[in-house]
Amino acid sequence: MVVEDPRIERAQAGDLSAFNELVVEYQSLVCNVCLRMLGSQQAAEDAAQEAFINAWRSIGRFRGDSFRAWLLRIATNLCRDELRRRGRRPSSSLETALDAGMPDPPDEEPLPEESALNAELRDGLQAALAELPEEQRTAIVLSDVEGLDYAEIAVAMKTSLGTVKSRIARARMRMREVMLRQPELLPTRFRQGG
Amino acid sequence: MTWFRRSVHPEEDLSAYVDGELGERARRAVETHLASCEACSTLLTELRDTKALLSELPRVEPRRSLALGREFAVERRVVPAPRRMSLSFAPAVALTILVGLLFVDAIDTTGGGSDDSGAFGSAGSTAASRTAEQPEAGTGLALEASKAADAEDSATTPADSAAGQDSAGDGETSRATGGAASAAAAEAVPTEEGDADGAASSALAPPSEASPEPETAPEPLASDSFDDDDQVAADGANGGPEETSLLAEPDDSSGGLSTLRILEIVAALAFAASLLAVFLPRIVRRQER
Repeated sequence: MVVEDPRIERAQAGDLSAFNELVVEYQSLVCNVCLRMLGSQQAAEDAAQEAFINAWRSIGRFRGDSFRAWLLRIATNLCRDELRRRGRRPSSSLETALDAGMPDPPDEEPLPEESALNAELRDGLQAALAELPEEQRTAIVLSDVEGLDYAEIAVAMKTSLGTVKSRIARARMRMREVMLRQPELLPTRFRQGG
Repeated sequence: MTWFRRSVHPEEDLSAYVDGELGERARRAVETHLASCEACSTLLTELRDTKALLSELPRVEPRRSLALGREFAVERRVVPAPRRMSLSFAPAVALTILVGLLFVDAIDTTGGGSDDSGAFGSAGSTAASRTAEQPEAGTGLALEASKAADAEDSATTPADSAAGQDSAGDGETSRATGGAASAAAAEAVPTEEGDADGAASSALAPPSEASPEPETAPEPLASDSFDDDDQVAADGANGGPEETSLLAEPDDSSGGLSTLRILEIVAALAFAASLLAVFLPRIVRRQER
């Protein structure tokens, strides 16, 4: 399936530069997954950095055939911990209400404009993702944002194919409902279908 | 199953159908259903649109490199974790052996000359009770211990060869009981240092005959983790050989007791060394943070 990368073996033998080559290759992927999990680029970069540090410390125990899935498991677990930490953080009810539905305050630098989606729709999608239960969010981010197949998602989430299938289905149904509620945001090519 | 699929809209299968993740039979069932169900055809389009929208979310590039700095290079050296984890049991094993030996000693010396051995025995047992809780903490932190083992690489190399010898003689371990570990300790000494040779090999013979009964007590622990004993033994030997030979000489005059005493000292040293091996690197690491 996935060809064993010689850099993984070298990293397991303690070669930091080999590991850093892997970091360079995967940092964009990990960062984007964390971004969709957490909602802000700053939090995403912090989580991704921590994920690579944890991966380096435990790479000796990596035995799977998908390094990418293993890395994403570390990263999404960290995101989950971060979300729980946020959930425990004492805050007023208004803040809690806002936190639940809103993405983090925007970073100093705006997101790049390369996307075909307008800013309002992007925020709407991110807010809808933030409303999903964490496990469903992880599943649909890995599937629809990153394009992983079910088998790899199952490895990354340490669960069964059936569970992956149902999490993605439920997440997608919810995302669909949210989008249908705001048809004015959708690009014209999507409106005729609904 | 077909009646079930027709009566309920197969949302979950529809979603997997969008991803091309259905098996042949399920895929055909969904297609049959879609042909006759307007609602599901619409739903299918909407699910596809949702997936398409999410895939078009903008991607970001990290604004800094996430590559790890040089300070991480020293932090971790090679080790498949599971094998090394066993070192955390070493202090407990060494302590068990030591207590067993002290027990034997106490029984042997109740007849005569109890003054100096009594002093040693009580000192040993207070030391034992003082440190009794620490091995448990050690087992809980097996991962840290594996790193500790890492730091002790040079120390464990002779132990590995000792382990090889030991597994070769595994068939005999049934008669060896708890004393075998200490015997292994003595064996490890000559491979490490030549001058301790005499003292060590003289210590080798007696334990199995000296104490048929009490030494069976530590057996389950000892046989459970034989490799550990060897590691401990070698660790102890590293620090120990000179002292053992020094201490052995004056004892020689007192005859039968001396070999037991030497074993006690070896076990005590093994215990101390294994404690150090497990905990010292952890303390150092903690301070580095």
